[in-house]
Amino acid sequence: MLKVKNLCASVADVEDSDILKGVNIEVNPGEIHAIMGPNGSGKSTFSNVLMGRPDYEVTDGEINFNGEDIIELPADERSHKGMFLAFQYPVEIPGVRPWQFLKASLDAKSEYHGESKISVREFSKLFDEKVKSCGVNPELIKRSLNDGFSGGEKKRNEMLQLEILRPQLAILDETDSGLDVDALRIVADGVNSMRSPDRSFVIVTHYQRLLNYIKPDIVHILVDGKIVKTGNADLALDVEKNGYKDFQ
Amino acid sequence: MSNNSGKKMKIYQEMFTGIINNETCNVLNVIRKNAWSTFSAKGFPTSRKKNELWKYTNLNVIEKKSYELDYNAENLKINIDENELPKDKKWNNIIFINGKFSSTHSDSTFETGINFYNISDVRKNKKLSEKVAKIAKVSDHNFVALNSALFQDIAFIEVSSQITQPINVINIISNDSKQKIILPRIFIEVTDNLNIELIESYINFTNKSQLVIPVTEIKLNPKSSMNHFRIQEENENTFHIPTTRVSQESNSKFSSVSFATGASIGRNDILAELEDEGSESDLRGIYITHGSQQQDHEISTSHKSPNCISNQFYKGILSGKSHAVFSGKVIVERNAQKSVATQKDLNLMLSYGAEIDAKPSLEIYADDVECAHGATAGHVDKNSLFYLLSRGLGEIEAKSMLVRGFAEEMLDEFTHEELSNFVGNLINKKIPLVLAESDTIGTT
Ligand SMILES: Nc1ncnc2c1ncn2[C@@H]1O[C@H](COP(=O)(O)OP(=O)(O)O)[C@@H](O)[C@H]1O
Ligand SMILES: [Mg+2]
Repeated sequence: MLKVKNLCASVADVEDSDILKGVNIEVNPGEIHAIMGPNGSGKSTFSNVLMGRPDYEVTDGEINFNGEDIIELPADERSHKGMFLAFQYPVEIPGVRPWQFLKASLDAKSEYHGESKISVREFSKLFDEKVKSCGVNPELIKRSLNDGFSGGEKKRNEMLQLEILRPQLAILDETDSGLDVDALRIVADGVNSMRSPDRSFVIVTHYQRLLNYIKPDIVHILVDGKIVKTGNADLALDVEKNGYKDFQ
Repeated sequence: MSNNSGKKMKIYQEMFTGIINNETCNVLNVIRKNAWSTFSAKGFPTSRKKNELWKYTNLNVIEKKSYELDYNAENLKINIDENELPKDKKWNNIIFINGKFSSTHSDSTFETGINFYNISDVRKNKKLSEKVAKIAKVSDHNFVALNSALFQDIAFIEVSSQITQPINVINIISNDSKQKIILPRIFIEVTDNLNIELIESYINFTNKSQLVIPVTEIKLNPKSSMNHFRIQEENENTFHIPTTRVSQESNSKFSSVSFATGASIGRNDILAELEDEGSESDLRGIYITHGSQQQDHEISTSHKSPNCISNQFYKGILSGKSHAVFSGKVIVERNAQKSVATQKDLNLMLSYGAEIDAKPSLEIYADDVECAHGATAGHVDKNSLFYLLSRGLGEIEAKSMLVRGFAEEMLDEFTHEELSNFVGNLINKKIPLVLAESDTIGTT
């Protein structure tokens, strides 16, 4: 599904600002990959480059999604093709109503694929159902996108969007950080319930904690812009015990 | 006065002569003469001569144009698409066309409790005419003076018992080829303890330049309240220079929200006077400008008694080479202890060529007060834009959503669905225009 080869990226328009220095990863349909690494190792950069954030420039390498080179595609097209990024720091956008926003997201996708749009009634039903299952405060979500939300509420809102948009590949950038155990459960339940043979996840995390609830198939350790080790779920336990010092 | 403005003054002098010769009411006669002597002495304000109030606003363009006063055409009947008006059958709809009451287009009856008079009624009744031009004083204001000298009709409204539906005064500017001077005038007084809603809109159907100079006087008696909604949708060749004066007795509450997207130069001048204890004033509004439009807000709140609360909260969306001024003033007089006042002006700068002069100011002469003020000018940042793009929204749709989002909390203040839809549609029409001239979105 996702093939990343020798991915190098730097901050756009800034010389000698290499952050990713040759990342290789291959995610097959149905797999859950975890990417772990110390702060500043490039995890968020990697997630954002996958999603097409214009702040970064890909200087070398390939990103291939379902057989297609997507490096030149803007973020909205990557979304239409089935990619999703749950942000580490979701932005607060006052005045944009999540209901309208998500309906517009789905509509844009339908339009892109020449499909008919979901009806308002059907969408409302889906929205209410997911608001409930993601434990999002229904009053808060009526008003605005993340504005006035606590850290935990923002992360739940990312899960709400993930569950409504139902992408093929979901990248979760430290969705677990700042969450209490209950919220962590909601994230894990969401991922586990969406898990299917044709959907994959890249779960970026600093701690092993979330991986107690979501069992990854493959774990990568990212240090200084490179994947220094790849293994199975046990690798995460090693990190938990010994930290990242062995890899640095 | 320059030679040119001397010549122009002659045109206004002729208008005044035409009006005063037909003024049958003694009280109005005196008001008009006073007003004319003020205006003829002052002329149009200039931004020269160290005129602090008009520092940012140059009205020379008005003086260069010729406007005509339409003496007849009373009760004009025109073809209007009702859908283009902010209107609901349930409301008390009072329609003025080119500054004159149109009984044809207005509702034939209003709710009990609404006493509506037009100028011919006011002329006949001294009790009414004596109330005119008391709250909006001609002495120190060029445009109150001009309107008071020349106004051709008035919506004189007394609310004497509780009503359930808004009073909806629509000022239509008809679609013809004339460059008109239009002088809408409203006087409204609310009896003690009543809560009412007033909608005041200016809907322009021509693309010819118009000079629109409204004066609105509002009297709130003790414990009464008014929700005031103001919509200004002039064409972009028009000059719209309204003055609103509010006089508030004890424990009264005035909440106003204004929506200003039109006009070449618009200048919304409000003064709310908190005459007596326990009164509240909440003034809000949004302005959206592009091209070479200018929109000023000259907003003053005067705390004249203790224990009053006031708020000024304005938002602007600026694009192209447009210019906006927020000049917010809160005056707390010496005896107005325990005043609470807040003042805020937030601007979304969509282009580097647009300009905002935001000057919130507090003049405080009492010592026990709680005041806060602030102003900002920011951009739609790239993080917000990327967030929406990553969810599949196209660039234009994402930008539109972010711009509209900025306006949304002001839209929410238009608490009637009819109104919020009307204003929402105006914003949606304006968004492509502001986006087309935008160069800041996502650059920071
Ligand atoms: N837009 C940017 N501009 C400048 N430096 C950046 C930018 N994004 C990331 N960096 C730098 O790149 C490194 C990796 O950051 P990041 O990807 O956020 O790491 P992580 O998510 O693993 O903590 C850090 O040193 C960070 O300061
Ligand atoms: Mg990070």
